[in-house]
Amino acid sequence: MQAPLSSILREIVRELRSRKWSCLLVFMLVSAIGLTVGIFWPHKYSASVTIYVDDQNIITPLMKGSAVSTKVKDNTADAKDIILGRESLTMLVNYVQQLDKKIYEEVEREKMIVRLRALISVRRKGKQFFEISYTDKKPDRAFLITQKIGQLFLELKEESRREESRTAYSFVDKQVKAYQAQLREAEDRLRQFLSENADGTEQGVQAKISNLKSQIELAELSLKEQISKQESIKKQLRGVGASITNKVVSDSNNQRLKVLEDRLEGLRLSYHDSYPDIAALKKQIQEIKTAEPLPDVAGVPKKNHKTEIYDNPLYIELSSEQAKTETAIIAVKTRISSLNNLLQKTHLIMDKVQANKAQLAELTRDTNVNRGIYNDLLRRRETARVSMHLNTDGQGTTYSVHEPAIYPLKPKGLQFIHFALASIIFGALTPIGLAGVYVQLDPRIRDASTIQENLNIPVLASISHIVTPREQRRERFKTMVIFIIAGSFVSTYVVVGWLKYSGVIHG
Amino acid sequence: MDKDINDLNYSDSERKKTNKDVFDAHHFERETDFLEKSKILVPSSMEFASGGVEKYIISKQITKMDEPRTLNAEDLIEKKIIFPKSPDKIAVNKFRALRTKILEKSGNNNFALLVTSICEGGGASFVALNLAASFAFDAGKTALIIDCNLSDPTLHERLDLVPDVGLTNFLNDSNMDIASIIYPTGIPRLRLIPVGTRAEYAGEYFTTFRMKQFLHALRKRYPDRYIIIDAPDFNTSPDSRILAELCDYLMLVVPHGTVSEAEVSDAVTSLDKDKLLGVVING
Repeated sequence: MQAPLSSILREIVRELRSRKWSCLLVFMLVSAIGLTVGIFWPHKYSASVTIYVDDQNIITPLMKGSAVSTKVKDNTADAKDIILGRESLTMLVNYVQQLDKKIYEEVEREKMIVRLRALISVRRKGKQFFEISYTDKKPDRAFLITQKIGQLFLELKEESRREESRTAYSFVDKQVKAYQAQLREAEDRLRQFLSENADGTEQGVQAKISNLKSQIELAELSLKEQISKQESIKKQLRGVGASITNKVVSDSNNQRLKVLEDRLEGLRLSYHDSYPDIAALKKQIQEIKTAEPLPDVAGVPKKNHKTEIYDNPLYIELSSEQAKTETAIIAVKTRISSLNNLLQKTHLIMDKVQANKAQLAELTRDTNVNRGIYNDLLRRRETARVSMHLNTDGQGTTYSVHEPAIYPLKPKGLQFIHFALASIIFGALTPIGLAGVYVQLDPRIRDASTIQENLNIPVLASISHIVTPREQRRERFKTMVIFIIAGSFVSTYVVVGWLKYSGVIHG
Repeated sequence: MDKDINDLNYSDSERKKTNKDVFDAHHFERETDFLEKSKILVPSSMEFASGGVEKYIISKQITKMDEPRTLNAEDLIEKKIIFPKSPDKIAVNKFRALRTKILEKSGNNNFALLVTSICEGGGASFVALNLAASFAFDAGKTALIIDCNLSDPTLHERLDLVPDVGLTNFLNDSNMDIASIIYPTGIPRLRLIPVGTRAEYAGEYFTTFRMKQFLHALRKRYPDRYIIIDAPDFNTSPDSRILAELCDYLMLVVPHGTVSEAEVSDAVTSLDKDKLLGVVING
């Protein structure tokens, strides 16, 4: 029925008047239900702990390049994952068991985990803060468990960080070892190859060839030198006689004189000239000097001279030189020929080496590459090691408790008093509401305007219900009864509410 | 007391005044004695010579109408019938306003008005009775309410009457006098024709020629008499539609909060729009 507002109100009032008992019933029912729900509504105490994420650290820029700190993209989501993860919740359940001093079975534990997951909430509070909150029926439980969650989170975070860098390090280490083995293998292969083809590398052979060549040249030079030497010696030898005749003046007296003079000098050192030995010696010397006069050096033959014939030393030397030169020449010549042989052989080797060049190059490259990687990995390993130490020493991204959990003194959310007040008001309004809905939805005619507007039939009169005095009395009586009942209900309600509020009744 | 006895608008107070003057009352009585005894109140013959009843007779007749008993105020209140001194002024005024509207439409001529309801228990009898009572307020008018509710007549009970004969008896018996079925109700200037004793037999009473005659006679003979017919509701029987043809006007009673628009519109479509005065919402 579409009707203007005034007529709706009128009709609502009329409906309510005609259904007094139903109104009362609805009111009582709704209020009672509301009150009961309020009494049994569980208290919700909520505690929260705020964690500060410190990822700006003095060390980070210092260690840039040589260490890598574990990057966390979204702190809150990451934190949430950890806090609500299996590990954390299992530990929490253990703690709760401790609190409750009960042992729970598997099924109970599972249920508890699910419940905890629903009751814990992690919220982002800013760029570097997030808040963990937990709601429970009892305030002390809420407080303790929230504290524990915070602690667990920090512990787990530490663990995971360390774990991460440790695993990174061990991974790199493993790689290093693998590459080391590889490198060794390559080197072995190379070595083996080289040992098999001990001819050496191309450069080696080339060097050898050039060395040989230079040696040959040197040898040839020395040959030439020797040959010229031989020629010159031959020439020399032709001009030198084989032996020399020589008169030798006896020199024995001079010799004796010398000896005595020496002895004299010696004695003079130790004794005075008056010493008898010295005087004897002087006498002897005087005797020799007077016996023979000093010989003439111009080779005039005197007494005691002999004629000696001996070989010319120059000739002897030259002959020996010549012989030496000749042997030298022979030696050099043989040397040259052997060098040439060697050179030939080396050329052959060179050919072989050329043939092996490709393989050798590959092996060398292998080795080099492996070596390069190995070196790189060594460097990285050191970086990983430093990062690991960074993490273990607590540098890098750190988490700390910014605001610890506080003991919740008041429950949050809907409390009994809300329910009490709301349900009585709601109870009072429900009949009106229902009547309004009914009046609106009911298609039956209640108002003259409907007929006049929609059907174009004139409405001559709208006669309201005539109430006889008897009916009026009855109605009044009924209303009074209803009000009494309602009044008593409300007073009961208030009493129950008061009792609950002051804590006498516990939900 | 010389007054214009042709004046139809004889109000109650005037009547009282005449009654108080005993001498005058006697005077009147002596003058009109022979007229009373002439029994020309309700002739039984169908046709009446054109010319009609003289107006002074009418007013006399009205003032001298036989009221064997009167219902007192408490009774009327209990029966939910309006009367001039009723404490329920609102209802009284509503019915008076309704009456006035109808009179406007009819041009102050008398008529036969059919009052029916959309559904059972719609309150057509209540509205018809009270409307008739409101017509009877006026000392210059009388009302006649005819109970045509064959299946469930309530008017005689309401008015505490135990009638011997009624409409159905009259319709069955061609020799019966109209006067014999008109009963005083205890409300001044309001008469009732009850339904009668032969109502149980299903029969087409209202399509008979006699019915037509009857209504015609009623209307023509008494220009001051307003006829209100209380018909059964549309759902119960088609009598109301049949009667609608015999009546001058129709009035539909719609109970409050019981029927939907669709039902009202259904009922209305089958009715003659010229005759339909309108709708009364009852409740």
